[in-house]
Amino acid sequence: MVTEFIGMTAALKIFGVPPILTIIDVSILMISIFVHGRYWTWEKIVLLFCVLNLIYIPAILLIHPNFSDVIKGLIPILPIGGFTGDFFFFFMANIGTTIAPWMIFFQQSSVVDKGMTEKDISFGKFDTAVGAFFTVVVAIACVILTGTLLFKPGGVDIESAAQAAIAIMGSSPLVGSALAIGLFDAGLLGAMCISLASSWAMGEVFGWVHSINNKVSEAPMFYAFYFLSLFFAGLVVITPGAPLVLITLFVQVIAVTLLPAALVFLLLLRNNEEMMGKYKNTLMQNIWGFLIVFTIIIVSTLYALSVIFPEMFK
Amino acid sequence: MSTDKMENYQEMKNMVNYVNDTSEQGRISFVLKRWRKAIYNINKKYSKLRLKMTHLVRFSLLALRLYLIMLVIILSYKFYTMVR
Repeated sequence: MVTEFIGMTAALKIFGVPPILTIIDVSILMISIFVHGRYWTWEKIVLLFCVLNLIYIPAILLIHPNFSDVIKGLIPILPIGGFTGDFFFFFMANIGTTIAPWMIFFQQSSVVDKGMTEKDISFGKFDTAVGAFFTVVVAIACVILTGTLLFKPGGVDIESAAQAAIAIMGSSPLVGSALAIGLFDAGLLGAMCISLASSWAMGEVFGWVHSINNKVSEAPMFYAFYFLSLFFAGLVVITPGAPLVLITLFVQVIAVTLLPAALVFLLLLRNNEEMMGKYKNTLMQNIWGFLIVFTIIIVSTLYALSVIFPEMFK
Repeated sequence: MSTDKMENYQEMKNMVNYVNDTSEQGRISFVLKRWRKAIYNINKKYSKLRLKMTHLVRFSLLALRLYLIMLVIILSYKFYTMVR
């Protein structure tokens, strides 16, 4: 939540909007969408914001990137600077922006709130696959955009997405604005989903009524937790002198480090014949699942080693 | 009287005491008791595993969680040193 608020405040700062105003406005918007009391309404609004996130794709067409360089860039290579502590850190932060523990809770609770049943499994899989595809497309578009406009052979001093947008604004105001709008939209989408996932998870653990289909009076604790999470995230972001970029990166890295704990349980559940029946994991699904878990554990361990023994990965 | 009924009766009795007891200490003690009961109920609810696991798997899971917590402590230390 904190990282999403950081993204939104940074994006609107480019257009001269003070952070406090962004936080207040965004909180009012999120509360008004949330208290509507229907999952379907919430989902349609979120999908609308998802479409806005595709703004990066037309922005690419405006900058005419070198497509042979783009194709070359899509082929994975070993890191140019070697395996350093920084490499492991940014590698983990990148995973953290795409796969996080809250997503597992979100996915299962949204299925319940949406009222999906066994007959909807194929639609659910298709829905997830489409979402994953567009996530990757938007991520590639972001890299092409910033790589084309900002990359210089000697390196470029950019610490955050907002700084990238400001730098691009100088050469191409239209593309810079698109990047800032995309950043704000991504933050808003993330904030809407993370706050809801947290409220669902808390409701499940504490046994509160926890459905977005309930009114505030029917599920007071569920909504109270949602409002509180907005309040505290906003408070952290407007704290003077808070190292926001560092917080953003570390939050993602810690989220990834803790991800195996949730993933292993998910895999155990998926392999439980009594519960899953014919939907039990296949051998191939298990290989992929455990490969992801082990990769994350190994990278987290290597980063931890680089912290304890800085000379090890230089 | 069944256990559920007895619990409901106790809860009602506590509520009556809460309404009657207007002192700050009484209210705090009531809130703390409710929290303690909520935590007890959560632990009771999850005390029996629905997933059947061998002792080796359970031990491995515990070890994994402890290991991940240790990694998070190291990361937190790194964050602290960088902020300082």
